[in-house]
Amino acid sequence: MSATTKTLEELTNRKYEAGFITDIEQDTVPPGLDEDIIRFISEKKAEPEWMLEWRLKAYRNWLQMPVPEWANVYYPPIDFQAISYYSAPKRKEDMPQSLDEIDPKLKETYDRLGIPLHEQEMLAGVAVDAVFDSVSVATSYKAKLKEKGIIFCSMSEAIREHPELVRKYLGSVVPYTDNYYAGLNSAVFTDGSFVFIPKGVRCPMELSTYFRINAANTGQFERTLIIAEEGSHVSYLEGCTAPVRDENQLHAAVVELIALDDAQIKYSTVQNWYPGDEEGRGGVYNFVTKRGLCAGNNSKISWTQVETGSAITWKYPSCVLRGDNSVGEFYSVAVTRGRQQADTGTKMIHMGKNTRSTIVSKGISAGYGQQSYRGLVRVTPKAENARNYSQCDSMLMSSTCGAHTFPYIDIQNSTAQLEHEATTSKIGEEQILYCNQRGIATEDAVSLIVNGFCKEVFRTLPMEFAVEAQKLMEITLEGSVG
Amino acid sequence: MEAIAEQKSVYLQDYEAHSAHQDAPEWLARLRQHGIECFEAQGFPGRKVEAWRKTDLTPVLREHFVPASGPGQMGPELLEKVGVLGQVHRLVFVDGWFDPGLSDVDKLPNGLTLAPLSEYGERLPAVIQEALGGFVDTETHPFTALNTAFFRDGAIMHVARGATVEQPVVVVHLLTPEADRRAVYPRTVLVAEEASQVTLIEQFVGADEPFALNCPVTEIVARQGANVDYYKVQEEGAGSAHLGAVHAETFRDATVHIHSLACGAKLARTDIYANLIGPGADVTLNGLYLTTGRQYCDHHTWVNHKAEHGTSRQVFKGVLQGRSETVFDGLVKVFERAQKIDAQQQNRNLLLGKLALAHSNPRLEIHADDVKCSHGSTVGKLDDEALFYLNTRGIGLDEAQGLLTFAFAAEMLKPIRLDRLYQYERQLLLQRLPGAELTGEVL
Repeated sequence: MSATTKTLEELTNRKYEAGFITDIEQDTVPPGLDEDIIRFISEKKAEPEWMLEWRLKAYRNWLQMPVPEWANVYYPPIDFQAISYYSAPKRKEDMPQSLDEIDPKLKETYDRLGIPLHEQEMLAGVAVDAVFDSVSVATSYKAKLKEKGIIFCSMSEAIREHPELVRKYLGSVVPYTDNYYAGLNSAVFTDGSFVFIPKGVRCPMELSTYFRINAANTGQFERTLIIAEEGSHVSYLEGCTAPVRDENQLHAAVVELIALDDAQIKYSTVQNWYPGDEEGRGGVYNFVTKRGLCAGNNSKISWTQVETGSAITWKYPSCVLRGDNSVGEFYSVAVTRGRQQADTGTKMIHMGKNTRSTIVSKGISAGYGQQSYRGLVRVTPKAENARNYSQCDSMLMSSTCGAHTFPYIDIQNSTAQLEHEATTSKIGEEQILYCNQRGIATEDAVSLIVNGFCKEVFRTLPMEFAVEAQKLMEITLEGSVG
Repeated sequence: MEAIAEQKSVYLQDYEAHSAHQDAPEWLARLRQHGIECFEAQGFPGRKVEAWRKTDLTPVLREHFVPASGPGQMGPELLEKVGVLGQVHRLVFVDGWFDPGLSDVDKLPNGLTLAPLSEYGERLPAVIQEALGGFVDTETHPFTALNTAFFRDGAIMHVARGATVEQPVVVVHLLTPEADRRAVYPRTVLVAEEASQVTLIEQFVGADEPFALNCPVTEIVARQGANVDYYKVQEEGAGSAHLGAVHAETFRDATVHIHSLACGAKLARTDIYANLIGPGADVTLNGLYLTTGRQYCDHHTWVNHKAEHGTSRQVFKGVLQGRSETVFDGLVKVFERAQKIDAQQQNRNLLLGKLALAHSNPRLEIHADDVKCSHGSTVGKLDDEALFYLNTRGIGLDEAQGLLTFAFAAEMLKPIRLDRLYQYERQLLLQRLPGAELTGEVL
C-alpha cells in the first residue's frame, strides 16, 4: 500500500513535461470582443461577405445566450473581454511553400514535443497540417492528396478556395445556436482544418493536425469540418499540447463531421493541454463541441479520445445517426489528476432504421481530480431496431478524487434495444498481491492493470496514436499507477 | 413562465385564507409558515430545473387546486379497497380527512403508538415534532414545501425502543369523486426507535372521475439498528395527479426496505430520498411501474451514502403499454470519506407499446475511492424468439406476451414479505397484462 501512496504522490507532483513557451513575435489584437473585432478577423483572413455575415449573426445570437451551468465543473466566470481573439505568427513571406520555409523556432517547438514534421512525413506517411495558434503554417503531402481529389487544407484557405463546400456544410451539424461555446466559436473562429473526401475515395494516409496554444491570453478557436462523400473513407488524427501558463486559457473548438452514404469517418484525439499546477492554478479550459452527422445510409462515424490534459474538459463528441443502418462509436479514456475536472461523454441520436451505437468510456481519477461521464442515448419514434451498448467504467486512485456517471436514456421506439452498464472501483488489493506474488513490482502491476483497463479504447486508435497514447498514459501515471 | 408565476401566487393566497381559519399550536404554525416560505422561494419547478426537466407539470399548473374542504362520499368499490390487506392496524384518510369509522387502532401492541395528527392537538411528543419536517428537503423540493404549508392531518407512528410490531400498519389515502379539482396533502411520519421493527404500508386509492392533486409526503426515521419495511401502493384513478415524496433517514446499522408499486393516476411522480447517515446502514429500494394509455409515471431517487460501510440496492422495473411515458432517474451519491460502500442500481424497462417512451437516467456520483458501485439500465421489447416458441406450442400472441411480461415484472413482487400484500399486488399486475383474462387463468 505504501508504495502506491508514494507513487500517487509522485503522480500528483509531476510537472507538465511539454511546458515551454516559444518566443515568436505575434500579430495580436488587443483583448476584447465586439463586432469590430469580428470584422477585423474576417478582413485579416480576406473572407467573403457571407462569412462575415454568418459570424456577426452568430455573435449577436451568442450575446443573448446564457452561460451554461449544468456541467459538473467549477471555475470562476470567464471574462470574455479579457481575451485576445486573434494572433498569428509573423512570417517573412506570405505563405511558406514547403516545410523548409517554416520558421525555425516553430519547428523547434514541434521537435521538443517529439513530433518532428520531417520524420513524421517520412516514417509515418502522415500528412501534417500544423496549426500554430490561429494560422496554418505548414501543410504537407498536398500533392499526393490532390491527385486523389482530396481537399485537406486550413479552414481559411477552404473559405477562399472552396466557398461552395464550406457554405453548404459549415454549421449544418453544429449550428451557431447550438450552445454557448459553439456560438462563440462561430463568431470568432480563426482557423482549423478542412477535409473533403470525394465520392468513392479511400484516403491513402492518416490525416493529422497538431494544435498548440502559445501566445498568452489568446483563446484558440478552431473550426474543423470533415466531409466524406458517398463511399469514401477517412481517418483523422488530432493531438495537442500546450505550454505552461498561469492564466487560464480558453479553448473553444467546434468539429463537424458529415458522412454521406456508405462513408466512414474515424476521428481520433489525444488531448494533453496544460492542466494547471497542483493547486489548480492556470490550465486550459477545454470547452469543445464535436458532432458527427451520419447523413447517409450505411455510414459510420467513430470517435476515439484520450483526454489527459486541461484544467477543465467539457466535451461530448456526438453522433447523429440519421441514415438507415448507420453506426456511431465513441471510445474514450480520460485521466484527471491534480485539480483537473472533466465532464465528458457523448450523445447518440438514433433517427434512422437499424442504427447501432457503441459507447465505451473509461475514466481514471487521481489526486483531487473530478470526473463525470455524461451521455445521452436517444431513440426517436421512427428509429426501428436501434441498438445501443454503453459501458462506462471508472477507476479511483485516491480518497479525494471523484468519479460520476450521468447517463441519459430516452427511448421512444419499442423495438429499441439498449444496455447501459457502469462500474466504479479502485485497483483491487488482491490483484496487486497476485502480481506481487509472481515477482511483478507494485508499480508495474498497477501499470499493467491500468493498461488492461484502457486497452479496449487504445485498440481502436490508429497505430501512430496508439503508441503515443500509451506513452502519454505511462508518463501521466508514471511511477504510480501505470 | 408567466402562467407559472400566476399559479404560485394563487397558492400563496390560498395559504393566507387557509391559515386564518386554523388555530394551530405555535410549532405547527411555524412549520407551515416555513413550508409556504420555501414554496414561495422556489415556486413550481420549470423544465429548466434538472430534476424536473422530464416532468410535464402543465396539467397541474393549468388548474388551481384548492385544499379539499371535507371528506367526500364514496362508492362501494373504493370501500372494498380498505379491507384488502386483512387483519392490520389501520388509519384511513378520506380526501385528507381522518375517518375514525374505517380506521382500526383498537388492539395496538405494546410499543406502537398510532394516531392521526389531529388527535394529538398541542401534546405532540417532542420526538415526533423533531421528525416532522426535520429531515425532508423542504427547501429544495417544491411539493414537499407545498405539503408542509397545507397538510391538515397526518398519520403519526412511533415504535418504541426494541419493540417488534407483528402486524403491519396500513395507512389508506382515499380520493373520492368529490375531490375533483381539490388538492390533498397527506403526511405520514414514522419514527422507529433503536432496535425496533415495523412494517408500514401506504395505499393511495382513488375513484376514476376526479382530477385531484394528491401531494403526499412520507417521513421515515430509522434509529440505530431499527428495521423498517415500507410499501407504497399507488393506484389512484385515471384522472388524478400524484406528486409525492418519501424520505428515509437511516441511522447506524438500521435497515430500511422501500417497495413501491405505481400503476395509478394520469400523472404520477414519486421522489425517494434515502440518507444513510450512520455506518453500516442498509437501504433497499424496489419499484415496479405499470403504465398504459397516456399515463406518465416518474420515479426519482437520491441515495446518499454519508457514512462508511453502507449498503444500498435499487431495482426498478417498468412495463410500458400504449403511449405511456416513464422516467427513472436515480442518483447514488457517495460522500467524501464514506469508504467501503457497496451500492447497486438497476433499471429495466419493457416497452410493449410501440409509442411508449422510457427515460432512464441512472447516475453515480462518487467522492471516495474504496467503494463498489455499479449501475445498469436496459430498455427493450419482448424477445421475438421467446414469443415464437410459445406460439409454436399453441399459445396465442396476447397470452404469450402476458406470460413473458408477468415473468419480467413478477420478479419485483418477490421482495414483498407479506403474503396478503403479495397476492394483492400480483392481482394488480395480472389485471394490467396483455390478454389479461387468459393469462390470469394460466397462471
